[in-house]
This record gives sequence, structure tokens and C-alpha cells, in this order.
Amino acid sequence: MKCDRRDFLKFTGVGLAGLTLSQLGVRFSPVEAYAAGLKIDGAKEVVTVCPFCSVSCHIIAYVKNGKLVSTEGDPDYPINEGSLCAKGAAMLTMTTNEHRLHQPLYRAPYSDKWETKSWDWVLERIAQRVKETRDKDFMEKNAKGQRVNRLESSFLLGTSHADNEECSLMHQAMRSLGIVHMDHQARI
Amino acid sequence: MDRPGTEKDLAATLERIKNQRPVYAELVDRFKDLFQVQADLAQRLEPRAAQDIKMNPERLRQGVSILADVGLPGLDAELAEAAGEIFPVLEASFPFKEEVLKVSRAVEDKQIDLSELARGVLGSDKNTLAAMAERAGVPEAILGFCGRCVLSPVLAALSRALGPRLAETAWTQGYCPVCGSSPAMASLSKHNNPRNEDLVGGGGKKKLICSLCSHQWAFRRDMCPGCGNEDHDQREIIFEEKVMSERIEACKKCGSYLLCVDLREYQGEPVVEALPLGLVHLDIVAQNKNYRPLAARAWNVAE
Repeated sequence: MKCDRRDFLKFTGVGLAGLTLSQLGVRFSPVEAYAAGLKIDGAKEVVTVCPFCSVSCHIIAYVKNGKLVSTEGDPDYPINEGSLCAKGAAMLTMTTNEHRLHQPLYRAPYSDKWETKSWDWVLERIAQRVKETRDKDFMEKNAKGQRVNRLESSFLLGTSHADNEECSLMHQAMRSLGIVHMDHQARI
Repeated sequence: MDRPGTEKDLAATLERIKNQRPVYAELVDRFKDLFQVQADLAQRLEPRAAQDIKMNPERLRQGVSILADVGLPGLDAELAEAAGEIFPVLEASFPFKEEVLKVSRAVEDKQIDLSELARGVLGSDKNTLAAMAERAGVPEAILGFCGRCVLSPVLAALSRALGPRLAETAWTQGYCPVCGSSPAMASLSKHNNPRNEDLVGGGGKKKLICSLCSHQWAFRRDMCPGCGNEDHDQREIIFEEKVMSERIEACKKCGSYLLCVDLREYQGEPVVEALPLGLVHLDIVAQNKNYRPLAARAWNVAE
């Protein structure tokens, strides 16, 4: 006799499903009481991509009420097979680290104190300093008289926290200023 | 397939369940001898039928489990040997000794053919089981329980024998590639050694464990084995606070759940097949949330 495939996919507990713990001589109530006293928690399991470098390892993120509560490498992703580098393994702290800054801090030259500043103030200040540096050091031609239009006294250190599109914008902005020295934090 | 648990491993696993949560002592003691004789049979039996089974990789790729294609091969001798060892344990362990004796006598008197019983259990053939139960003069549920207890280690031995050949095939379904049954639970593998010393973590590969033949196969972490749902908003992980290593993986789409243990949090090598005995509290939590188990077992059916 061959079993029909549909039969195989039916509920598998036939016979056994008809017997219960009490019929098997086991009291159900102690386990039930134990279960009733439990504090229950829960989360969603979301597969995401590590933001730290272009390897783009997959991470399983546990999310509760919209907040990240735990992470681990995704074992099904063939590149990292569940493992992560030290930075990827610490991804949770990107959102939970108490030392993470929530607003810009500024320390004036020769000062020993940090001052809280607004984003507008900080962005304006950075733009001012970049312009000053560029105006001072911008090099139109090199020693041979060839046109180079570059700025060698500024340097961009990229971050793994930036995604592709942000990196593209930053790169174009630096090129427009003439900056030629750029590197990425993942290489350090 | 992973090696089925030896008697020693099993005893250690069951002892650990009792020590961790004493509330399970009664349940573990009730099933202890049955589990041990089944584990021993699964290890010892070497079904010759396994050699005759031709595996069809294309059919497996299509999601057709092996026994769905070939039916139950000649396992009469193994079923008889298993019945000879399991019936006495059932008589001694459970409060329906008379009924087990009747089944045992019906098998001896050839009123019940073990292969027919096995096919009835495997194919969920209620008519066949009802007719056999009537012949033996026992309730259908008890006959089904006896048949399943006998068939389970025989199929476990068969799947062990098929294991090396199965490992070379692709199987992506949420039901067993050997017997087609639903999984009893899932496990996440222990840490492996990353190929680069700068890496950490690893492990966590999900395996499903068949509720009938104990075969274990790899399955995706982000998918419901019951319906293939991979929408994370439609899936839910539920666990006892601070005990995420033992959890319910529930699917809002099909309403099913599967228990999952993270072996990275376990010391030693527990016999995974035995772990659901110590997780009934999670079954209760899941069923209170109106989820149903992918595979019904005696210990996760309350009424």
C-alpha cells in the first residue's frame, strides 16, 4: 500500500492526539499552575543588514515595541554564516549605549569644558571652518603649473554608519571642495 | 541526520529537565522508560529496507518526502522487534495496561497486522485504525498511541540509515523529508568556530525535529514551517522573561506554533527529542494565545 501524499501532510498526531495527559496518568494542573505564574515576554525577529561595512553581513534583530532589544548574526546568510566582527556584534549598542550623544557638544580652543550647542550652530561653525581652510589652502595648480583644483589640508574619514547613498553624497561634497584625501573607518 | 540519543544521553537530559523544573518530575517519570527503549531501538535497529529505497533528488526538490513516494517498505521484522520491547513498557508505564495487553494479544493472534497499523498511523487513516481498534476491543486513541510508539523508533532507525544519502539532497520544506510528518520542535545549533579569529558568534542554524521519526533537517530561521510565511510582522517570538533560549515561534498567518530551543545556551549535548517534555508550560502559554501546535503530542493536549 502506498500512502497518498495528501495523507502525509495531514495532522500528524493521529491516535496520539486522542490521548491526553490525564489519560496517560499525569496530572496536568501542576504544570498549568507553573505556566500561570510565568512572566511572559516577546519580540519580533527581523532580518536586517549590518550597517558597518560593505560586506553587509546579515543580522537577526529582535525588536520589541519598535525598539531593538537583541541581535545575532544570521546563520542562513552565506557570507557571515551567523558570525560577526566585533563592531557588528555590538550593533545593539548603537541604539542603547548610554554614552551615545543625543545633542552636539562643543569644546572651545583651550577650554576644558564641553558646551551643549544646537545643530544649527554646529553646522554653521563647521561650514565656516571648512570655508576658511579651503580659502587658505586651495591649490589651483601644482608645482608644474598643471591645473589640479585640490585641497590637501583637509581629510575625510568616512563612517560605517553611513549607507551607500549618504556615502555617495559625502564623496561628491568632498570632491566639490577639492578634497582628495578620504578614507574609511572600517580600515582602521 | 544527527545521531539519535543514546540511553545515557537521554537519561541525563531527562534528569536535567526534572532538576531544572521539578514540576515536570511526574511527566518525565511517566515517559522515561518508553523514551529509553525507543532510543535504544532507534540506535540498534538496522532496517534492510533502507538499502532498497531509491532516493529521487528531483522529487525531494519538489517537496515530496521519501515515504510518500515509496510507501512503507518491508519493515515487518523491525516492527515486530519494536513491538516486543515497547508493549511491556507501555503496560508498565501507563494506566491502560489491559488495553495494551489486548493490543499485544491481537498482534500475536494476527488480528492486527503491525504493518497495517503502521501504515494507518503514518497515513492518518482513521478508518483503518477504527476497524483495527474494534477487532482488538480497545479505544482507537489507545491503539493509535501504541502504533505510534512502535513505529517511531523503526522510522528513526530508517531515517538514520538514509541520513548520509539525504544529506546530499536539497530539502527546504517545513515537514519531514523522510516520513512527511510535522516537526515536534526546532533547535538552534551550538556555536561553531568561525573561520576567522576576528569573528565572534556563529551557530544558531535552525533544525526541525520530526515528531514521528526524529529526523532533523535544516530550515530557515525567518520562516514559519507550517505555512511558509516569512513576514516578520506576522510572526511572533514568545518566551518566559529572561529565558529567550526556550521560546515559542508562532505564526499569526496560519495560527500554528513550534517550540524552539537555543542549544548555545545548553550545557553538554541534550537529546533534543526529549526536551519538549520539559517545555509544556510554553505549550500552555501558546495555546492560551489561541495558537495550535504544529504536531500534537500527548503532553501538549490538555483536554
